[in-house]
Amino acid sequence: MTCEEVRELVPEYVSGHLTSAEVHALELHLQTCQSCAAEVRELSHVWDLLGQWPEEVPAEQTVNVIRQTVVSDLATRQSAAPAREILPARKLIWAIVDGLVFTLGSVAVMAGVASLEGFSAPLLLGSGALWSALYILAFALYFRSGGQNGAVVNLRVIATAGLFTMGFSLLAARTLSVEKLVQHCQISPWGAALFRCVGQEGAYLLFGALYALAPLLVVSFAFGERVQRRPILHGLLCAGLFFLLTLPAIYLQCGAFSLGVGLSWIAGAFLGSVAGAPLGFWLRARGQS
Amino acid sequence: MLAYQGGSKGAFEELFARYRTRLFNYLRRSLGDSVQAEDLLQTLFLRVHRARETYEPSAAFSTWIYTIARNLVRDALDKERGEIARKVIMRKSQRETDEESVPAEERIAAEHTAPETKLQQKEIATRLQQALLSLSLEQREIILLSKYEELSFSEIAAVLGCSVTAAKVRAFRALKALRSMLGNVKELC
Repeated sequence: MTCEEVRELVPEYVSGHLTSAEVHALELHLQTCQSCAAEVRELSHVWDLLGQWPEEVPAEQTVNVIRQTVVSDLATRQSAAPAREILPARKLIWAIVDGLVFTLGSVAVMAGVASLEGFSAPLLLGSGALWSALYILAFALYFRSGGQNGAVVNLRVIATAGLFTMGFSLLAARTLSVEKLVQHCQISPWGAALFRCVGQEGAYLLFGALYALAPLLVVSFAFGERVQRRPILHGLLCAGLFFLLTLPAIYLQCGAFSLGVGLSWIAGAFLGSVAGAPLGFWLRARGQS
Repeated sequence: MLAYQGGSKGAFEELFARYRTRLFNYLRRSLGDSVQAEDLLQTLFLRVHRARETYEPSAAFSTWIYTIARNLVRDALDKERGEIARKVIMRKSQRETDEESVPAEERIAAEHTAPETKLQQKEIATRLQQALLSLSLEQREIILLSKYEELSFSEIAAVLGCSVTAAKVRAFRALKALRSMLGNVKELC
């Protein structure tokens, strides 16, 4: 350790903020350098001397004035504040309307992608109702928007990213569905080799993961700018929302497949979701910092 | 702080109890004037109360509140400029004759101290005060934050808006300046 380095460490040494290793290195230098030793001794003495300026307490009257002013202001605000609503009626109606519109749009896209004839009417109605409920939940989170002013979780970003990704996912299903991709792979030489390695379930797991990961990664990175902290938490919540929204779509496409294939696809979508969204938000946060 | 942001009186009381004496002494030592420090303490807590919704949990609360305190001190000093030092000496002599203004614990301790020791302690405290007030504001605030408020150098750097290295260099220079000013006082100890 040089004399210059010792000078930089003196304030922390006298205030007791150095680690034991740093203290050891500094004291080792002091044993061999008389001028640094004298300087540190004197500055330590000055530091100790400063402790002799006694502390005082503020006057009771001052303390009471501050306390009364703040406490009465808090009480006034509390009584004036309206009862906290989870979601105002107008926003709830918008969430329901938007949720139903998105459900109808999604069902229309899925009808063009997969054959729904194999499903019974109650099963289709139940799936539709579940999908509507999930979409309404996503829009309710969007309209609640309570997390925008410095709160821990920004619900609007989570809902927006989840819904956007769902849109991308439906677009991908319409243009090149997982089922078509698997069929294409089966007839291509490299695809056949892949199938030999991982089997049909493995292929659905892999493609399901890719179909969730890629759009979630892009969308969460794009919206990550609005997430000021806890990107991983935002990513996991967004992944959870997207996974729930995409479940009915996977279910409707898996009607003609075995249970193993369906579960592999669902597992792939889950893995892709929990990897894609946290990664996208984290990468954006890292880029910003 | 988050509970206080949400309007909890209990959370305010807890924060107020934890910080009021510390901040009062920071203001008093920065300005060298207890009366002015009490006025600023009121302003400080009212400012904290008004600004509580803008507080971001990503920043340490101590850093946030000391930044507000530091800005208040700078504003007050900008207003008064050179008048502060004169007021300090006048009020100090007035305070010394006023036993009621001394806190009860200190008074009890003082009653059990030998008269010559009391004189010596008062002299040391006065000389310390004079020496600290003779430092530049930048040097004074770094000594106050590290010695009396016990903030780490990364916290001090955040309050002062400088790098950690710059804060350490400033602290080293402040200590050296104090050493030359307190030369005679050391002989009393």
